[in-house]
Amino acid sequence: MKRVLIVGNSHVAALRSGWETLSASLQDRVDVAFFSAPVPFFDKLGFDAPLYGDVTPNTMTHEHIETLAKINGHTRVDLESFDEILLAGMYWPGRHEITHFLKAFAVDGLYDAEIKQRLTLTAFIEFYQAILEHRAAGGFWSTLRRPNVTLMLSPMPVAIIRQLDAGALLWHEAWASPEIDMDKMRPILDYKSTLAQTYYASRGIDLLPQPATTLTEIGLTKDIYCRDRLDLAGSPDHKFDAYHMNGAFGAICLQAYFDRIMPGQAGVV
Amino acid sequence: MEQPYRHLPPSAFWRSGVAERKLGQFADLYTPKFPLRRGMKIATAGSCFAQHVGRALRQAGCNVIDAERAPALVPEQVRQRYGFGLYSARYGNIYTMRQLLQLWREAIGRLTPAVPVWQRDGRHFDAQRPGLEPNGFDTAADVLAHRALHLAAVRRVFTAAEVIVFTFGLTETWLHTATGTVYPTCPGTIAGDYDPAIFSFHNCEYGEICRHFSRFRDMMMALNRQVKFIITVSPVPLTATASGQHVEVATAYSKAVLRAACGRLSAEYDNVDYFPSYEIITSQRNAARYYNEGLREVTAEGVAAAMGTFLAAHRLQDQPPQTVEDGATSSPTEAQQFAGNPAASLVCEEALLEAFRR
Repeated sequence: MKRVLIVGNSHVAALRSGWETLSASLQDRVDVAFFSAPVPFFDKLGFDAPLYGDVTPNTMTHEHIETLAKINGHTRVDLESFDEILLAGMYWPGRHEITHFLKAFAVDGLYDAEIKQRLTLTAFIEFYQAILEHRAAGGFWSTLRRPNVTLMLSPMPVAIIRQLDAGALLWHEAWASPEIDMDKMRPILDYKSTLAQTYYASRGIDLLPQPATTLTEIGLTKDIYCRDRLDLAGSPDHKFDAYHMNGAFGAICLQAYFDRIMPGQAGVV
Repeated sequence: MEQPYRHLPPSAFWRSGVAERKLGQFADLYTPKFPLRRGMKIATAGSCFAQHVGRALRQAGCNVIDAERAPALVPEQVRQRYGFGLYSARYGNIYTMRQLLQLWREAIGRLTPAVPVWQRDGRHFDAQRPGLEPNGFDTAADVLAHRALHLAAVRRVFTAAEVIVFTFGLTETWLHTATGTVYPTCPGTIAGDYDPAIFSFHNCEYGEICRHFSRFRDMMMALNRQVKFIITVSPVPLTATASGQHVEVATAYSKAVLRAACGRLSAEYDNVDYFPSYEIITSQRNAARYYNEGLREVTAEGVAAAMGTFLAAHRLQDQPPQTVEDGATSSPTEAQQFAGNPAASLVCEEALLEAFRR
């Protein structure tokens, strides 16, 4: 029995819902625990001690602690008591960075948009790797030699983002910008993922890419995955946003994760 | 007895003006011919010392045009390796006025440079800015495609510019003999092959420098009658000379010719001002203290002295940041980096000549 901790921010909600679908067929092979908190509260949790969530009074209010208890049933978790950790919903290196490229540059062989500036592939790689060096978090997680850490980034926004008003969207300016030619961005998004995987692998972190079956041809998440979502506390989330997904999405991601950490053993029965 | 020296200020006499001047005091060396106003759109170009000029202006919150901007998330050092943020467009170092004139004529379609693509180890390089892509381009077509976009940026820069700051760097250059196309570096150094039947050495003379500047000025004034120029001479000596002279003699000649040209141009034209960065750095009063150990590169203290004098004379030091061309402002990070290390990270192809010694 493999002990797995799924830890992260609001995106853990989709994985928790997804686990409800998968647990019946997998619970004899894997024991899954969840520990999550919404952003920006999540970022205040302690990373510098083996006890994740080892709260400090200076940064955590009583309200914060209550929230943590309400979502998770407890406020502490012992990382080292697990075999595997899935760190989910992180933004680094995320959409914000890549949208800067897509808005400003075409890239040779990767993104052939009508833009005033163009980068060579070599320059893009060096720029992106420099961003990873400066922006990518994960220092604490890469120091963990046991358990193994897998990183799952926040999902790509859903495709319907292209048809919505600016006011309806979080981060609208980034992805729905007319400066980005969404029809041509898939190759550069895929390449960016490859670069990020290499980067994290060199730091002992396995990067789990968003499963291809959840993506449209242009690299956005299929709209069906943002319907009927639950929040971290398990309540229906009726607010629309383009970035949080449902249990069906979570199940696909979890299956991909289990296939990775338990090759040949994690098929749904 | 009345005589013309009787009423001259102390700055007119060597002893009081130089020998007895306090170290680091240069305020009376420069009185601007016209003020730089907040918000004026400034284009910068020139030899590698001009990078300090642009950086100091950005740090002071001036509206320095940047028509080819890298994502701000990319660290400055990495951006600069690819020619971003050094000048108002990614043209790299422009060591001679002939090269700047040629660039503009190319940008407006009046000239096509000869041998525009150089090669090295199977990679392709833009002969007019061979240091721009350290690893070169995949194909010659890629070079030309990127260059076409760059030329559009050059047009945006000089069409928008209200002030053009140019630092004269060298008189020595290499040209395509048959057509007169000049290059910023000698073929065969960074890239390309040197063939004496095709390329030749040329040492620009006083008259042609003035003529090239005047022609460039006329073309800029055709775009904007009010455009102004601030010209300087780089205090950085030649890394190497192909003139056959000793490098020190060749440097003295080169700088003297450039300085003389600047003197004439600023005297002749109301819209051309000369800033004496060369004099500030090379002054005997400093006893070479503004040069690093190699006696070639200017120290952080020297850069601060020169650019501090410039900014103070234009009262630009305490002005709030301006929105720069294309909509962004000089980033605090960039400004802080300059403040912390003003002589940092010049990109200078000419310095690479040292690597090609026998």
